[in-house]
Amino acid sequence: MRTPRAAALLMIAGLVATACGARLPDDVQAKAQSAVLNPVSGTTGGGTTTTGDGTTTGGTTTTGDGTTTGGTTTTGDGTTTGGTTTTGGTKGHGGKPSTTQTQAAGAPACGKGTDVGLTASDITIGTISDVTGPVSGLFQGAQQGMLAFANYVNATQGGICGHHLNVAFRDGGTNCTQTQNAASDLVNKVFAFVGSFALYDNCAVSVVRAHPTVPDIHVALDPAASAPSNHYDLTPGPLGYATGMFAYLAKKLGSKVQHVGTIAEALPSALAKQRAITHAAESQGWKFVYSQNEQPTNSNFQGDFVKACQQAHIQVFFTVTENAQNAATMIQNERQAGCPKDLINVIPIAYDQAFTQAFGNNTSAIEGLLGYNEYALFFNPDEAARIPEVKVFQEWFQRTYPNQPANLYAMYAWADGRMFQQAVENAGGTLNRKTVSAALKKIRNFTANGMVAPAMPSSKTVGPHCYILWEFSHGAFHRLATPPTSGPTGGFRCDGRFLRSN
Amino acid sequence: MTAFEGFLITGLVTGCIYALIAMGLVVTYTTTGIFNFSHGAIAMFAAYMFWQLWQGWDLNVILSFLLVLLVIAPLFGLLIEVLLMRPLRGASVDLMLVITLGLLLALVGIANSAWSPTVTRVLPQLYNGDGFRVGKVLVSWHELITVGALVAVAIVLRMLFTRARVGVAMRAVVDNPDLVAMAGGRPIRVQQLSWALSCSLAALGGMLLAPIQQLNILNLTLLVVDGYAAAIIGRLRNLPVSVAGAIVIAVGQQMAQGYLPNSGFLTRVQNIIPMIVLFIVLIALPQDRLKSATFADAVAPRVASLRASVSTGTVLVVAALITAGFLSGPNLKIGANGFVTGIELLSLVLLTGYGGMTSLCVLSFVGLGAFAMSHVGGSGGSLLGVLAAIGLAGGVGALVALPTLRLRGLYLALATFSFATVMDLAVFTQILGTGGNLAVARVHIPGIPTQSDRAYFTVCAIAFVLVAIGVLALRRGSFGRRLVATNDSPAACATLGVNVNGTKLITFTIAAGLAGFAGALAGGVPGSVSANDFAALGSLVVLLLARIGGINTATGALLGASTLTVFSVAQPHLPGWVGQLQYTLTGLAAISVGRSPNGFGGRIASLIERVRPRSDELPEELTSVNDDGTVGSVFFAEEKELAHAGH
Repeated sequence: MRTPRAAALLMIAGLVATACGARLPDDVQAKAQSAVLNPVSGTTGGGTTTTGDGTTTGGTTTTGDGTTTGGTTTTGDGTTTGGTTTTGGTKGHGGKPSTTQTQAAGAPACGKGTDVGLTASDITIGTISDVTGPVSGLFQGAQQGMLAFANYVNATQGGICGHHLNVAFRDGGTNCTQTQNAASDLVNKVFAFVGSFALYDNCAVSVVRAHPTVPDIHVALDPAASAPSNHYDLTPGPLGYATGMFAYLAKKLGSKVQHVGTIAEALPSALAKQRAITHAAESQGWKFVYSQNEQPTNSNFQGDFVKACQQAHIQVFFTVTENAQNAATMIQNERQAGCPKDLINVIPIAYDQAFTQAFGNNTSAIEGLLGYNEYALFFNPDEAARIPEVKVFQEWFQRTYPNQPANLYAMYAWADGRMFQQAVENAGGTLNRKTVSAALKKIRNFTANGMVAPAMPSSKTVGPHCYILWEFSHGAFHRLATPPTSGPTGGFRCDGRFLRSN
Repeated sequence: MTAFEGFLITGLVTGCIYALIAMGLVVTYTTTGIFNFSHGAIAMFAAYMFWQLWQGWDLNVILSFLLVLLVIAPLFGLLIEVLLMRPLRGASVDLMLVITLGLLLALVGIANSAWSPTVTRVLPQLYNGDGFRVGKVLVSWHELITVGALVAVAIVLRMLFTRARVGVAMRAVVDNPDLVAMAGGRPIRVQQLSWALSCSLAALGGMLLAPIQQLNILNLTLLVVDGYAAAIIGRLRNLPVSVAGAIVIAVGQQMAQGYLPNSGFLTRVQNIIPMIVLFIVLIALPQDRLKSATFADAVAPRVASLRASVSTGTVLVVAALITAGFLSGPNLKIGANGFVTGIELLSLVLLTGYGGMTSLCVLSFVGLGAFAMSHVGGSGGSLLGVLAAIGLAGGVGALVALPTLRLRGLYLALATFSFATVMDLAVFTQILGTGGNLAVARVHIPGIPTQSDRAYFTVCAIAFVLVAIGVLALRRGSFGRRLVATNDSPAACATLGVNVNGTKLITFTIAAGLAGFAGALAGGVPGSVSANDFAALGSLVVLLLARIGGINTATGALLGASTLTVFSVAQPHLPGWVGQLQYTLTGLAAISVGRSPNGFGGRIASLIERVRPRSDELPEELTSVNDDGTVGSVFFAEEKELAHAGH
């Protein structure tokens, strides 16, 4: 989007947003949500935790009262780096995980050097996220997560490799030119881009390409943003989708998956994602008998469900490219439209505190809801007990932003920070953009200590395929048929494969 | 129970929602003479106030409802009347649009600040969404109450406007407040009552609809758009017809959804049905019904001479060349965007400022221009792409103008808005490529550097200057005088043999072509465009910017674009909370312009007029000096003499 409209004070767009507007919020959220839906290939190890005053993270000795996690550092084909030994790695497309976790021993052999945004004492990263625009604070969570991470590493580890971590934030303004300008402004001031979340991240691609040594670590919302060779992603790869979850659900639900209805937002990006999902599901025996594209401004779907339930006779309802609040409305509209009570809802985007809040104390309507994530149940208390990194994330987020709920963007920014930390620690004797980029390219299985599904961040050809399943029952989200977090896949299911859609 | 019955019942319930919205618009127009674009925003704000009282502060639900309906909303209405509307008596349609749009933005901004949209807030349906089944479809008690409220309000309003003295007075004040005053009435008091009633109706709609449609700032604000068609079907006056129209539209939408294919272009038909109906109804309706379809303030500052415009343009280009050497890459792009926006505003200067035709679809033509530039200009940015952009936008502009030539004022505004919405929902989202972005190359001019940020900034500056000189030349020429005269009095022009429709058609075509030219340049700044760049409501904002700068002058276009540019440059250096206020500040800026119809440009022209030596001779193109020192164009020599006499 051009500066005039969006920045224009107005939002205009917004008003737009759908119109512009109105659509922007949904567009953004749908894209953001869908951007997350790429599982990862490969494997990982879970984190190791040391409690007490001294904590170890990826081999870094820390002080303070924070509890930290052990790190998994996998480099190249299983070499030892900085005291962390990892073996195995990605076995390629659809390969079985085989990484084993070893505990970090001692501090990493951090390099020294200076570069843009890097001094002897400080290292500065840049985060661009949409804060203003039609939806105020849209991706503010990314800034929050990044700041929480910086506070954490600075307080408990003295920064990264002895460098105090500074974060320079810029507002993308939900606007193409502003996002591009933010990248142009930051690229000569920061060492790397880390944790960005901007709807128009494709507009920063020209800047990232023009500076091939600057590491760009963020979850790409636009496929074009993931193209540069110096882009690293928690959910990398080409357009496509994993098949494992559909195979599992086909087995669990039987012939019901041959009567599936779905709704997607009528936006090009969402529709492209929807095609990839449909392709993957159909490869596992699913059949979509009702498929509708809705304008992002639509917030009532009763007519859709009249048609889906009374004409198409769906038995499973599935949606990914909508937002959580719309998903909650859909559940209510199902009831109003006279859909059968045994209709199965598979709604991955429902793992969102906004979704459950929409039902208040009356969550009986969503009992039995099914879904899957490519990340841990990051706001679940029980998950924090299982995965130390989740616990650290929850604790430090609350320290930084008391009484505010952490959202998906905060979690991703935190995980991006972890990836950056790992690369800096593994950069070798000389620390600069080039060596850090080289270290990023060597990471085969990144999991942020078990918080996200394993991925090879630099991959441009192989998509992710690991995931966890969950079910909403007894008023909360619970893991379903998922391997133990202490297992070789860190609690993620890595069956199935990644199926490209083009 | 068949699916048909399911669609029918769902359509009826949805129709009642549209009807409630349309009723608010109709009542507002009937009692104030203003088509209130901020009606949805007022409804949204009331819904959030209701949530705050009920869910946020745990007040009793009925008490909260009544507090908003009978206290907060009426007080807000009084405030609107006193602060915003009273000074606008007799103002033009597009000024009213700007003021109500400004109010809309301000309310959205305040709501964004008070209730962060990133936090989910739920306004539960009454009785927890329980209800009764008609066949398989569940009609909730809440929906039934909404329908009941609709019926009750319709009956009460009908009686109010036909039988109660105060209701008749409300209508009379709209027709002729002076006459009401002469007859012993109190028009100001009646106007206040009208706005209080209007806001209460908006609040009622917002509080009842939010639980059904989600408590969402933008969605509730924009929900009103679907009610436009129904309101216009009732000619903004007839409540029963508006209600019937709303129900027919909603049932039609449900049937389209039920029986049209689920894939391809036809999936978009359902969404644009209200706008198609709106467009058709506007064309079919008689035109003499809307009182505000006149331009009371069609008064332009002095038109610069060719020498003045060329010299000023040269100074601007030189200033741009010098400035370019000091600007960073990001600021060069922001500046280039500013000049492109200036060209868009110039198209409105020609169309709305000179021609008096309010257009709410300028971004649609910009989008067409960008599309043509991308496909014809190719990756090399061929000049043919620019020509194609102008040609495509101008051609489509002519096609849009043909059926709307006889429309004026609000009707024309709504017709162009419906076109913009159709383009937005059914065209741009369909054609702008996968991923939602379309690559647009910077124009390549043989022998002239254009590809660097610095060069492109200069190219855009020169383009703006050339367009400005052209628009001013057009205005000074015989066509321009004919255009202004047509705006002043179409009937008189027709009587004198002026081809009114031809003049309008040419103007609309040229303005659309200029917007297309802007589109050809716009995409080259960041290198791509997306459907969101051409959203229907964005065109309202462009009009707003034109009004802020001054819609009657090229200087105003530059000022409007500069306002945006300066803010964009400053924004990264401002505290974050200031950025959050952008909606509010823009809205307030637009509202403040209401007291100066010619915008900042008009104020500057006024100042110049006061300090320059006054000539006894008026310019040759028949202008008059007005009370505020501005110079306005008139057509008849008698008026010229009257203007002299008035001074």
